[in-house]
Amino acid sequence: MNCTDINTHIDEYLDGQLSAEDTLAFEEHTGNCDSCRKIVDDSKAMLSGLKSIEVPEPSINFESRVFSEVRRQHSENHRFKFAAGFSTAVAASLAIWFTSTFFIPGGVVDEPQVIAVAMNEVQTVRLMFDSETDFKQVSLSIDLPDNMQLDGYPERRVLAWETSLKKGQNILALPLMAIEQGQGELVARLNYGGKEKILRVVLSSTNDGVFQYQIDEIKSA
Amino acid sequence: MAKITDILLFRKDAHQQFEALIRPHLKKLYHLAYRFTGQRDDAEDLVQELLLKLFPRLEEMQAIENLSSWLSRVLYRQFIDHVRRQKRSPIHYIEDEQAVYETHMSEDAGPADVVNSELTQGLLNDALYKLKEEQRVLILLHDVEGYSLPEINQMLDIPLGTIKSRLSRARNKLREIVHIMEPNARDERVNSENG
Repeated sequence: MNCTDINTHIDEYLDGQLSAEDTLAFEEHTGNCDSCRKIVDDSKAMLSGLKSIEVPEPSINFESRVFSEVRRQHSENHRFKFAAGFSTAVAASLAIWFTSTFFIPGGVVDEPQVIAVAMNEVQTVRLMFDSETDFKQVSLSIDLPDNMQLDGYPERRVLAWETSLKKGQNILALPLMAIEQGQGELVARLNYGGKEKILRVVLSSTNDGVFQYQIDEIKSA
Repeated sequence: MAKITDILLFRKDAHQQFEALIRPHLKKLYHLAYRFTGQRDDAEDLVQELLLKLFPRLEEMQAIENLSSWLSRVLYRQFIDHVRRQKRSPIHYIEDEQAVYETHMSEDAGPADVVNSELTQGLLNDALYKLKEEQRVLILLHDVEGYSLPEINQMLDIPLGTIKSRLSRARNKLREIVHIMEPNARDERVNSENG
């Protein structure tokens, strides 16, 4: 090898990527060439120095702070918003299960199911609306039992608003908290073009958990 | 009723699941973020921003086999997005490399003193941030953090050949900045040898 070869292959040499034969030739040249040897030695020292560059510790409570922020922002972001296309395996499997065993076509669900809600601890109850097509100007109302409240709306027993549904699965996440022991009925009413779909769910103040619930299938007129 | 409870309980507290999934990788994420940004506050912000984006993808992440590698990749993309959003040029041209050298070395110090000096770490760190973004990231991942070229290939989604040539150019530039090799030294040495 000559000086040009050393310049060409120095990084391969430093990374141990040269063949045994080329390594010998490389070292033979650097053994006889002060200029090349100095570049190689200094390069080795440079790489060694790079490895010693330290990373300062993160600030105190970094870990708890980042996770708290995720909890805070995602709790707020999900409040009363629909997330269309929530087609994860979990959602899909629940939809199939409810469709086959719980879905009652054409109106009111007469046998409310019981869902456990924690005392004084906000938990998310998700209502899933599986829509056949896009719908605009859908009226949605939620009637809460006396022993439950929605996080951020402490005095409200009824909430109603206009919204839209997209084709596919739409999720309404309700941040609920039990404020008194007991159980009561949550009624969700969905109105579109004179049609009404109603879900009645019994909320009971016991364990915590996150739930997903399919109300009904909405078909176009 | 029991069946509903059984099915639904496995989604119990998505936040707990998210934190259990991410916590083992958080230190590495911060570490990498610091390498990318060079500032503790910026690194923490970058990780925070990433976690906020990742939370809705909990189920997707739970199915990923090599989560550590995947997280490194999305962190890097987040960093690049952040740089673009800030409308900062991702390329930093070297304008005052002599100043970097002089900041850390006395007038009569030679190149050998640079690499042997106690100030090596500070000088090298400053020199790194005089490199182009793409060069600096490669030096940091390969030479500082010790990632292999295939690992970098996976993380940055850049062809192996491109990584090798960029890394070589990055090292040459770094050698120039810390005066191991003067600018154009390679050409001069080759001309001298041929002449």
